[in-house]
Amino acid sequence: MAGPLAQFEIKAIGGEAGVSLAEQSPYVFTNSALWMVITVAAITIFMVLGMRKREMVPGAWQSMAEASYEFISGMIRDNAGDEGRRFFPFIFSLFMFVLFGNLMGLLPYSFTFTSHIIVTAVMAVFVFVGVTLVGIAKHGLHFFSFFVPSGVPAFMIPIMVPIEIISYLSRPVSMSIRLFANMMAGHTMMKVFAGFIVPLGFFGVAPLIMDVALTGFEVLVAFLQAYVFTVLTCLYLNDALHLH
Amino acid sequence: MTCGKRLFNVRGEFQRFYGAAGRSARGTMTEGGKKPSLDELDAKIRAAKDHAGLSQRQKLGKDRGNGDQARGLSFAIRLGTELVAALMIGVGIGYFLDRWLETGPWFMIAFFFLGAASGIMNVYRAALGYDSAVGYHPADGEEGDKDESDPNRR
Repeated sequence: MAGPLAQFEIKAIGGEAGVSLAEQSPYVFTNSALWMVITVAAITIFMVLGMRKREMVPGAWQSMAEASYEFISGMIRDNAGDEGRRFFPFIFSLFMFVLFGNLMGLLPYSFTFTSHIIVTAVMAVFVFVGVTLVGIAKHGLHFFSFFVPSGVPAFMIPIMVPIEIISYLSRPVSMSIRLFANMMAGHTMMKVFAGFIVPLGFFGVAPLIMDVALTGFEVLVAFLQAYVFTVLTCLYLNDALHLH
Repeated sequence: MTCGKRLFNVRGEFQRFYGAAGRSARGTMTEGGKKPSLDELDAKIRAAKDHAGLSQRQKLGKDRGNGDQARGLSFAIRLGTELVAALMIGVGIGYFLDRWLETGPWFMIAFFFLGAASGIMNVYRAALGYDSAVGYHPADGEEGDKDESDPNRR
């Protein structure tokens, strides 16, 4: 039986047979990449086909597409203000990508690319660099006053500034760790319980019930983590736009 | 399961917008004034939704006591991540400065303490419900709204 961590293994698709991933060319199409493509395709289908009819009174599908739009647009308005609206396309794409990636990872035989820290870290660093550039573009050098906390005595400033900078740099780290750790922990736990079902015979009912509950829990976590990732992006954007 | 409680805000918000989605689409589409009855319907939906939003908010207030455990756990995980993340960054900076300048362990030691300090500061701010890192300022926005928009609270 496959171990609980086997589900996170990266495999090449269509590569040479019998050659390990590390020995192949660095541009291999992997199962992770495949599921990203599937995710993007699913989002496109969901949004484009959902909005195709443009009914005045929306049906279920159109409502869902509109609801996701309104959800993100409301989130940006509440957390980043009206100036944040320019970044709607980016934040909406980010949310849908993470959400669909999390949810599709729950399908049997699928692959959860958000359970790999390299994927979440790239997204978090992208957000981090983008937000910093937005702040510098908007405020110029005044942006760096961000790192000087108000109400601190002058002799403390040489200590406080590096601390603030480290604190700022730790944002993408904690952001990416939170998403990847949640997804990975949940999937591992499900697999551990699933591994007990058959060997326990009749008593396998207990881990089976647990797994059913965990599946529901994972759906909630998938949504919550996508939400948290996006809200944090909005909050950081708000910081950069308004500098408090 | 207790975890459902934690998500209550998110789902409530989603449902709220689920309702709102239809309204805005209709608003842009009825400009031709084809069906005046839709406006009445719109007003009705809006009234019902305002009412529902209100009661949902009250429910959220009441909910606060029950979901404490789940919320507390997720908050604890968040605090742990904040602490470790800042420490990792601090030690990382120190390590690479040392490698670059060949200054033995000194930068790493100094930045270890700076990283620890900023980790504790992050935790302190998160615990006070301030905005995520940097600057001693509470999050923007009115107090009532904050609970819905602020991930610190989950």
